[in-house]
Amino acid sequence: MTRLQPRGGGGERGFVRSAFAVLLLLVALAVGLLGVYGIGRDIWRGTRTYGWQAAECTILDTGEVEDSGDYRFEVAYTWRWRGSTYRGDRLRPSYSGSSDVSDAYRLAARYPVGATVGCWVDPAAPEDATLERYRFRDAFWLLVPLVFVAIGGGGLVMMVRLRRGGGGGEPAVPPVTAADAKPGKGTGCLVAFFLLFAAAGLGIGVPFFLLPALEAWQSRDWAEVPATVLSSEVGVHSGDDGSTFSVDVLYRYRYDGREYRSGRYDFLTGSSSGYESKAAIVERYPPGTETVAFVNPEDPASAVLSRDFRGDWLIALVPLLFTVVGVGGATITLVAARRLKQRREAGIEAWRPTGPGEPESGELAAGAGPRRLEAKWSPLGKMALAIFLALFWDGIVGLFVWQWWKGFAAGQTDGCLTLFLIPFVLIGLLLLVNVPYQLLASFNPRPVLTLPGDRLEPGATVTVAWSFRGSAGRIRRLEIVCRGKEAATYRRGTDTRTDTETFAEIVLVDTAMETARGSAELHLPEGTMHSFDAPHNKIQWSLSLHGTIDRWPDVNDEFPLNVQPRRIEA
Amino acid sequence: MNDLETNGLPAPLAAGAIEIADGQHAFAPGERLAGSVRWRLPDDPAWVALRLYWRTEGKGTQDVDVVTEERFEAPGRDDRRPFDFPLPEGPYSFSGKLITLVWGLELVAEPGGAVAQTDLVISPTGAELRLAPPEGRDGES
Repeated sequence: MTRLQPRGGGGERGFVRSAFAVLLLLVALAVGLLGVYGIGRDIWRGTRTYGWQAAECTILDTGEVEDSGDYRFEVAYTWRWRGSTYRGDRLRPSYSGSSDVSDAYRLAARYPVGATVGCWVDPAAPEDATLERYRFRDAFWLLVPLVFVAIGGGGLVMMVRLRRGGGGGEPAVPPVTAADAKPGKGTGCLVAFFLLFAAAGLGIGVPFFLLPALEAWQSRDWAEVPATVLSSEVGVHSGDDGSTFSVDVLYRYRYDGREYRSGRYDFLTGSSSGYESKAAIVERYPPGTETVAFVNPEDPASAVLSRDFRGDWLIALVPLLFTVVGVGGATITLVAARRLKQRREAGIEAWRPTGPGEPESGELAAGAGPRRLEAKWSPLGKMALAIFLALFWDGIVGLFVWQWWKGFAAGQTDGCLTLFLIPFVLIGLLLLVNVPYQLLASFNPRPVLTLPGDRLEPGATVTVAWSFRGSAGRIRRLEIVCRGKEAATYRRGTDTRTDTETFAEIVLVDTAMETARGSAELHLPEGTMHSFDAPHNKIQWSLSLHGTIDRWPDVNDEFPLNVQPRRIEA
Repeated sequence: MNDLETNGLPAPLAAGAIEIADGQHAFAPGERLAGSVRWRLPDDPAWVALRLYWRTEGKGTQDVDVVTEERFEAPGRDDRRPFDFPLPEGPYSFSGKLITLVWGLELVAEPGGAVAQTDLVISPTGAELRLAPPEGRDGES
């Protein structure tokens, strides 16, 4: 049977789709190139200041100017160059102000009126000078348009390659095996994806939470000075997912005989959801309020009104989670790829399940000694899982319950939120109860199952022996069942789900007598499927042991079995 | 090479055929798989390969694994080559309520993509294994 599957570009609709994709990619490329040109020109001009010569400038005038929410430090100064006097107002190349008023005051303190300071003069055009040379960290902004260039240019190159891949424009039929033609292919992309996750977490977490947290910790030694609130309001920042809010407060204070202004309430920067908490802070600081500011003695332009931690710090958990998922995912991917490579190098097929009986761990020959089966979960593992699930679930649900409780205490119960929370809270309670349950279960007698050393194959009959470590007399009834299951993992929306289906169920033991030790015969059907372990599809064989204990958590353990395909006769 | 299947498509599209000795499509694990492949391509190929692989079908995301790949030396635009290799121990062809495992041969050219494909059965019984749930059991997830 031979099949030839033509696949064209989808006719007219495919052409329109391709043309639209090309247009979008061209726009992205054009925007990126424009940005690269603009920022690149600034970088080029800025770096030229490193070829300028040092001179002395005298500050004539300074001031702080507010422009659309940004504060800009303005300065005028003069310098002499080969007998001529020049006048300029450039602080440094590309400087355009900052949203933090403290920066302007910090610069004002650095360049007081009347002072003579070092500056840099272009020897080729001495009317051109700057107080500070270009800051190379500003060049990082070049990454933004470069991302656009990469998306636009990369996308166009990929489209051209795909067209060429079709054999000079002929429609190509993609092979079913394309995804697996090169083992380990895709690992780099997956690692890069996870590292991007980690980078996003670090990119947000370090500047917005870690550095402010460090500064808050160091602020224990800061000086307390009187301050006067000049203005205060809740800043509203509109976004695609609704508005976020910030405490916008401006105050003045004096330190070492000089007046400063600051717009920092505390060490958190940016904005977040939750209007009420910000409004409550603003209400405490109406204009004209005499209060106390905490000033960094090493940098007096840096001050805050509050050194306390507030609820918004909990948002730091989000970038932390990103970082953990990113680093963890990249590590797991690399370890899995390495293991796959080792297995392939050892000549072991990818579908062979790991565990006892796996060829790489030493294939068991007929007549070898009995082997002990390992339970899928140890008591410690079950306990750790129960604690992790309870902490994870109840930690998240707890935040919502806390919000609900604050509303309830203020007499503003949200009925919808209450109804929404009930099932989540019930699950959280069950998970909490599961922790002491697993603790009690960890004192149960531990089952020990052994199989003869022969290879376990379809059609084989083996003797399964069981015993217990601990007080086996407490077990009133014992059941051991061998099960074969299909397990299929698939994506539905953003969820990854696994469905299972039992196709074989063989009861070995079901007794209320002689539960402490014994043996039973396990016969696997002739025409059944062996164990199979692909990334998304599996055939899993296991022995399930259930021991009933009166007024105590039951013994429940699962022991994976590795059923091999029948050995090929030489 | 006039009998190459092209699904009614006009030349010069890629076309190919996989012919298994005795027309057999069901095999026991470890048996030898022999036959010949033919292809006709619009351009000179960089390489042409015959792949023995298995794939899953059903509810789960598809898994595919290439078990053997035979690359043909100096392939022509219009060519025919024999093949002969042993089949592996497993996995068996099976069909359950959630998963089906299918073995296949695929003739791949670069450029050109897949020019011929055919399905096989590899099982000790000579037929696809059927996994039926025990009576009174439904799926769980």
